[in-house]
Amino acid sequence: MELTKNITLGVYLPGKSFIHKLDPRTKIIAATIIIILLLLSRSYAAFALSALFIGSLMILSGIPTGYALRGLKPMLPVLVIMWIFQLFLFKEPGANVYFHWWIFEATEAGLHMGNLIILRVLFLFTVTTFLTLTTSVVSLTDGLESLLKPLRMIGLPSQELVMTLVIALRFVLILAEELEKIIKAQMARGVAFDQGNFIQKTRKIFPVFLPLFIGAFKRAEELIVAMDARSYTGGKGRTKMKTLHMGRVDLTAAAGMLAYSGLLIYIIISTEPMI
Amino acid sequence: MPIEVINLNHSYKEGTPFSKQVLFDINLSIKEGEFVGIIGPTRSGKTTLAQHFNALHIPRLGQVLIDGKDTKDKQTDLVTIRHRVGYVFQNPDYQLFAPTVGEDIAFGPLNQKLSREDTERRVREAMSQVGLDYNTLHNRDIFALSGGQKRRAAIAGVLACRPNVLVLDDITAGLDPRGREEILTVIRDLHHHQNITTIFISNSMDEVATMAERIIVMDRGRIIMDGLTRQVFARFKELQAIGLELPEITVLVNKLRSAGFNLPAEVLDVREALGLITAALKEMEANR
Repeated sequence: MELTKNITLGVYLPGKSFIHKLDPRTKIIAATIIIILLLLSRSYAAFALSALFIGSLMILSGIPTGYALRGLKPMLPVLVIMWIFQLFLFKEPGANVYFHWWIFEATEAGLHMGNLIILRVLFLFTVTTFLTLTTSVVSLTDGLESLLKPLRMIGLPSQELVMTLVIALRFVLILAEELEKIIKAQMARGVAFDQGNFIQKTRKIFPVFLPLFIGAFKRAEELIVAMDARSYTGGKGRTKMKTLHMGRVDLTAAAGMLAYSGLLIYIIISTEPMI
Repeated sequence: MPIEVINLNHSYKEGTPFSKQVLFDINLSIKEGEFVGIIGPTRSGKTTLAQHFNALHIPRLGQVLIDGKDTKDKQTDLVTIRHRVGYVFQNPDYQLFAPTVGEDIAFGPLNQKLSREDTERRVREAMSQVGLDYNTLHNRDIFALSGGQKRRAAIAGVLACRPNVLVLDDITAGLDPRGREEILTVIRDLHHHQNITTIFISNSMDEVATMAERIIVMDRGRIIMDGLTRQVFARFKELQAIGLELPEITVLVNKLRSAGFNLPAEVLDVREALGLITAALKEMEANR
């Protein structure tokens, strides 16, 4: 029983690559731009370019591609269900019909819609995972805080917001560990999580949730005590141990991003959308 | 129920950059009715090894045979194995998940498809075995229990499944001396009266010395010693070298030895030491 093995979101993989050395702000801005462009992409050519770009970044970073994509494994059944729903239920008048039964119709439009949604989810997940894999929690916090600082003027508690976000990210892994413990405890007393078909397995998951949530609340409470004990009072008056500096690598990265964005926007405008 | 481990290797997070091998070529066999202590410093692989005994871990390399059945074999009924090999987790918080004490202890028997009445009987019995009062405690909220009571509830939850083998993972950690002695007495009684095969994991040599007939010493994922308790403790220099603390009484006796007392090196029991030291003193008195 090892659940944490397949969780890559929120995990940091230390390294010495060009990507690891970038200022966290550069990486956050770049990831945001990539995500916005992905949401605007509607053609296969645009996704192909993004795949090429992200793929080469991954090779540059030295992060094993297999590991970066491993986090997708648990999501696979959900993605397949989403795809099937789109295929059969998305309707557009005048679209090519492949298959027809009762109220279900598999159309060409549905197929493309399904593909589009799956591609978006896959890419969004990969980009965010890639960001956390190459950026430690500390620098992620520093970067986000520094980027959101101007919003303090309009009364946005940026430091607190970032702290919440980072804690949420950490809790992905903590909850998975907690879940693993509960499953082990129940397995040890006779629940066969590892036996039975898909539906039987899914049904056994429900009695796990109650203790999981109780455990999560307990963890949150412990965290509050730990933060209080170290006199955490929010962002006001906090200083930084490490200050952020942009360097030549960041400039190179900006140039690379500019080239990619320009090319992608050109493709988005000029190619026929899939739907 | 005999347990056989053959060339077992185990890695965590296999196939990821964080992969780490924690068990290396483990071979051992535990006979029915034995009382085996497993000691070793923290992170020596004790828990990982023990979780192979009730098929919580399934080996990828090597074999684990429980009562002759390979846990890797698709035909093996793992649920039965897990009922027959009871596992008390290192931290009761890992184990207790139901809202009340009674419900938590009933979890195992209910999974064995026992009737309400039989389950009730098992819960009462298990609670009395570990010294928890059924009437006042069975409706108690788990979180309202003290550390010692949680331990007992966790053990009761496992005993209610009526296991043939009991794996106890460092169950006295964080208990006061009296609570510790009480729990250990429960374990000893179970072993003597019901002949339950007991595997007792601990990093306290004091405890293992007085409890186990046989000791397995682990260090960095390997078994480095396996033998009768006295034989293992006779090699105290090696035990100290891997960072284990000798039983306090053994340390005292060895200090006296180096001060010129005529005493054996591997004394493990306080009463035994008392007899030997008295005899040694008398002898010195007579020689004077």
